[in-house]
Amino acid sequence: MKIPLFFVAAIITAAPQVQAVNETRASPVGLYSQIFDLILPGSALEPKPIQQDTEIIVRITATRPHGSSFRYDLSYCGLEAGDFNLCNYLQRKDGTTTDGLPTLPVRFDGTLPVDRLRPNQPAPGQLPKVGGYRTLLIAAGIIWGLCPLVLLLLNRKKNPQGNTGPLQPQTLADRLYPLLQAARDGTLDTTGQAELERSLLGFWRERLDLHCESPATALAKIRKHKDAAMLLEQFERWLHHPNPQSPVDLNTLLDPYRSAIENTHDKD
Amino acid sequence: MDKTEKFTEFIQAIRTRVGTVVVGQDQVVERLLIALFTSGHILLQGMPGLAKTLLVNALGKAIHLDFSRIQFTVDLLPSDILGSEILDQSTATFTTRKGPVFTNLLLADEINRAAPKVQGALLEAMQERKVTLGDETYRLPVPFLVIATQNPIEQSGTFELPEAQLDRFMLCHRLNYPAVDEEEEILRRNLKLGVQKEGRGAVANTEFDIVPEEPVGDAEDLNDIIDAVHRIHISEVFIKHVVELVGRTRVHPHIELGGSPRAGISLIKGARARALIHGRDYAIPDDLFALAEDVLLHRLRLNYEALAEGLTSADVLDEILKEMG
Repeated sequence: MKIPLFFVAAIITAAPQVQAVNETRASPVGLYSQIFDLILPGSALEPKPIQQDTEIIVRITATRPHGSSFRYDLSYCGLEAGDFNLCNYLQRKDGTTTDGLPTLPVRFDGTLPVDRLRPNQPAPGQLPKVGGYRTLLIAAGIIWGLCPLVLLLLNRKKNPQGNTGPLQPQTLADRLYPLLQAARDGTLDTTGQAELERSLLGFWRERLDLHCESPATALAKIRKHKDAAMLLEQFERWLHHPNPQSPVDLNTLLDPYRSAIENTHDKD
Repeated sequence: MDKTEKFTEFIQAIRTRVGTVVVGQDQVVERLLIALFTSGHILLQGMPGLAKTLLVNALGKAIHLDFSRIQFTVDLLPSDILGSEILDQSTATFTTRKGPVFTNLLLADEINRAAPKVQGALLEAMQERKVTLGDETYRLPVPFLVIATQNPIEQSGTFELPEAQLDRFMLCHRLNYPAVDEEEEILRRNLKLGVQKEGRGAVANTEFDIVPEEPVGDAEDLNDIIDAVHRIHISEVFIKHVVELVGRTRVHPHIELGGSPRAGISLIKGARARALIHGRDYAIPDDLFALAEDVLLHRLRLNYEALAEGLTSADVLDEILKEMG
């Protein structure tokens, strides 16, 4: 008497599972739901590969033989609101059709109205970096090492061949000589005259060894030197006086400087 | 007598007169005369006790000019300098009270101690040579020369003059301590000052008491000199030197702010006055080199690199001048 009662109880407990296949299961979008011990006819099933626009993600968490059928534990998650047939997201492992499968209706309820919001397209994946951090460091080291070489080569190209030595700074005499010549020839413009006057002041500073003195002090000392004072005064009369009282003989005025410079060149 | 000789004689008389009360400081006297003859203004930088006030006082009396002194303090107001309108309650009308700026020689002592608005008021009056009180605009007396002083050491509680305002001073002269023999002479003269008795009391004389009251010339002589300064010849070559010097201050790698065109103008004006003082009717490079420091130094601002290297504006200007000639 006890045994039939056990079978009745077993039939009663098994019945909802068989009926549950056609019952619509509702769950919110984005949350996983599970179905246990679902018997589906035919050969073994597996989830279909997920596409970019798939509405449901289905996972088979356990598969057990059940006579000629199989009993499955399923886990699924809806990505879009609406009614769907869960069996449409399964396929046979042996590649045969799923025509014999029953309808397994599921409903996903969204918080937003249907079609109000669609999920963003996933960003396309980036190509993996070539090499990695170590390769990057090695490449950076090589570039660092090559930089001076490139700069050296570029610098060499700029310098004409045979003129690679450092430029010799012009001496005071080098600057003064063409100015004196131009003054003697009468081709010196106002800018040249100003430069000539400054160079002559430099000449006397150099000659009287007044490098360390401030220009104002040096000039005061030059004025005390008999020859320098006389020559500079004549020169100033030529350049600055509104009406020079005596005509300036440039040859006489500039000859002492020219001969001094020529003597310097001869010594060199 | 040649006019230039007459001017030289007058200038020498001023220098001699100032020399009776101030020992040494020939260069400062020359700079003051340059500022006076060119209608410029001068800023004197130096320690207290270098006879700045005495110098200006003696100069004013020698040429018979009005002299005022304002001690700048932090609570000074623009109206304390310029003047203000006061309500006369008996007649219910406003009367104008002109401030100490209405004078010929104004000594603005320690100008950097006053608030910027006071400095601004004085510097505006210096430039425009007129002052507005209420609805009336008054012209300042002619000649009008501001001699401002500032102490280069004590910097706490001071308001440094910005470059734009410093540029309005034609010259900025740095006063040094007198030489040993000059200082000895100062002490000897001080010993002879004596005492003045008045009524039943007596007080020791100061140097101000011995400044001779009678002038060596008058405003007419000064006008003639100012006129003569404007006739001093400036050659094209000299202009080239000035432009070259000012230009070099603008492109020097250690200078952030170089000389303005106003600096060039000041160099020319100063060189003219110096030429006249030295008995010439034309300017020469000596005038340029002598005045370069006083005209340019306060107008230069060094860049960060120069300051980090410990350079001063004087070092950089000296380098520029040495490169020039």
